[in-house]
Amino acid sequence: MKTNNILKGLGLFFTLGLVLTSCSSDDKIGDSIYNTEEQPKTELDQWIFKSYTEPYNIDATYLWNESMGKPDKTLFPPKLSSVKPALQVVKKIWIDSYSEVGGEDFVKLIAPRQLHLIGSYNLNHNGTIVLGEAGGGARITLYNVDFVDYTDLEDVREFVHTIQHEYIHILNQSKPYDIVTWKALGEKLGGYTSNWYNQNDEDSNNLGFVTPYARLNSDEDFAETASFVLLSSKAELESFLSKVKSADGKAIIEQKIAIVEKYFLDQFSMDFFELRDAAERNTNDVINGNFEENQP
Amino acid sequence: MKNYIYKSGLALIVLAALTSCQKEEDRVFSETSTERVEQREIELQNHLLTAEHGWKLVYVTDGKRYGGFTYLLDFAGGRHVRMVSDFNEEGLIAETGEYQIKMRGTTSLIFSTRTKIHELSDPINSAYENGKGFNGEFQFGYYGKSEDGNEMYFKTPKQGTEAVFVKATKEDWDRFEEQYNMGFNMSLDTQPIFRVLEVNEGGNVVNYDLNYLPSVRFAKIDKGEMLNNQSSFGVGYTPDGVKLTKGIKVGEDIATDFIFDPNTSSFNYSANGNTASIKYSEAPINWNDSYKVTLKDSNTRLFFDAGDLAGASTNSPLFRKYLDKFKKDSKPGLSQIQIYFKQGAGNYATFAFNGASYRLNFNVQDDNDALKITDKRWTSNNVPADLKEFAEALFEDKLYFRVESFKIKYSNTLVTIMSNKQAIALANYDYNSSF
Repeated sequence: MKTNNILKGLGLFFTLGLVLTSCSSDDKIGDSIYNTEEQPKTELDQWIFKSYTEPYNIDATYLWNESMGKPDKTLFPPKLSSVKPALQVVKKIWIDSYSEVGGEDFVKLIAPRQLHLIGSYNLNHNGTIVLGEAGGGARITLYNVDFVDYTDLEDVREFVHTIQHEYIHILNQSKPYDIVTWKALGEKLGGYTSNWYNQNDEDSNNLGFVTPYARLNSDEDFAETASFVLLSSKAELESFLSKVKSADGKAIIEQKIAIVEKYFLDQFSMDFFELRDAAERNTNDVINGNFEENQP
Repeated sequence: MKNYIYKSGLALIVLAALTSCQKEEDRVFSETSTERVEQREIELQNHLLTAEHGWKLVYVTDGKRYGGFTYLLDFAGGRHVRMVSDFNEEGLIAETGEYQIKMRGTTSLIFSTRTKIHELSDPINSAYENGKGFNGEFQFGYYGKSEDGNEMYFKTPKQGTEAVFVKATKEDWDRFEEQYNMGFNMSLDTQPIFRVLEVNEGGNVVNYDLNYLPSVRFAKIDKGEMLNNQSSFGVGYTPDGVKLTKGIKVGEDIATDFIFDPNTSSFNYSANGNTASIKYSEAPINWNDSYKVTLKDSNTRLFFDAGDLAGASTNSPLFRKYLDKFKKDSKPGLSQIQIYFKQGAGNYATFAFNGASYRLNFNVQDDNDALKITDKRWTSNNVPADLKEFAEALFEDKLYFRVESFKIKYSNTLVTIMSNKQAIALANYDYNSSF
């Protein structure tokens, strides 16, 4: 019985050997049939690599790729000359502000993996304009980079709004905020609605929301509230709050801002208003044309 | 039993070992699909670089609504392409962008950063539907080349529009500005807005009203008989005249090339004793009676809103010039025109101009094909001079009406009104659905 088992074992061993070796031939594996040569990098590509990819592991892309467009929309890629200024401004107002207050590594650890630029406006059929989009926290698409006037404060704020808003979502995915308290505040007066685009600013403010879009749901409300503060100066925020007609609405907005402040402190040990001040300083630098310094 | 399973398992392994090495297959192609794709990409890349003076593309984005926009493309090795276009004046200044050759359904040429060709895909400059630009695409699937290599054939992925790249000549580049300027002769400010196509086949002369839309380079034969079953055609500019993107039948020939005659300002074709001319005309030949609505329905109101209608394809170049002129010094310019036809209660037009409103009252008469304007009077005497000049030119004598088949942003019908004295035409919303 024992000999039999040994023989069987040997038989199996040889058979397997046959299976494994029978297909081998003397042909060596040749070069790939694909062209594997690295495409030459332009100066702009090298700059992107040094400024975004290497330090932050963010892929900043600008060449047209239909899979990143919208099949039902008419869009076009950015002009070559628009790419670097757009990325410099985003770095200055977003990355540099967070790095200054949260530490050099802050954005390196939590960031979208891709920033994609589109040159044209993204126009909806009803005439409204989409400024930017985020895909599951991994990719942020910024539109109309060919049309931003970097000397105009409102233009710059509008352009940076997308990234400030979406980055709050990415932070929320990393560390949660107090959603129970937040939701209760959101539902105190008006509540959330998918019909937010039919609301106006004033009514939304009176119900305790910084913008109509904040009324969509608590996550959007949180991101809108935080980015709204990040895009306003101290004086502008105070002036905004003083103009909210409903005392209850104003109180809710103030409580929400306090939750955002606490969130940054508890979860990231960051002073939210210090971050706002840094963003404001960097925004002012941008509109004064100082956003090219410290670039490799 | 166990032994049987064991043995048959063993037999299966041996069988697999013996059969798995059969390499030979019946192949249709000698190369693998990957190799063929690679070869196709190399062929396209290399062939783009063979043309000494680059390539010429007359791009007709939609043959039913647009004429041809010409692009000269000079490809360099690597990823750069230099381009000019006759789309607008800026197009004449050569610009370099990037291109890529990628597998996108088929081997495709993609203009991957914004250059001239993207002007046909600008959502904020739309000729017809909002947000659609000029229906342009900037990705072209490659479908081969002519035997002599002088033509390359492409198709766009979204709309399947065919595009032919033809080897450009030195003359194409040298005379490109002349070609661009030829466009102005098709819609001269100094000539009436109406156009006629005169066809003379062996002495038998027939005239057709031609509605030419310069912004889309497209001509429609208005009302009247059809010309050999064809009611429209696009044009592309050439240094010497225009080339019809779809020729018209004149006699037994297909007429495509019309040469500009500076003495008569007409574009002429001639072959085998037959002629055809595109001419300016003081008045249309066969018109429509849509204007009669304004004499019956006291609720008729036309509404021009610059925000939505400034880019309408039926707006004439002269009207566009007025709008641009009014916008000087960062002022809002002429933002709205509303025209009320109220019969006995009085007709009037209001102009929203740099934040103020001005009113022009007038009377109308039925003038067979058109509305004759009489007794014009402004209700205030502080009307800005440039607005006054424009408004009085528009309402100088007669207004012609045409109900359009396209819509812009809203479901309201669009009505284009035309002055017979100056080349002013503008699209308006039919505010109260009168037409």
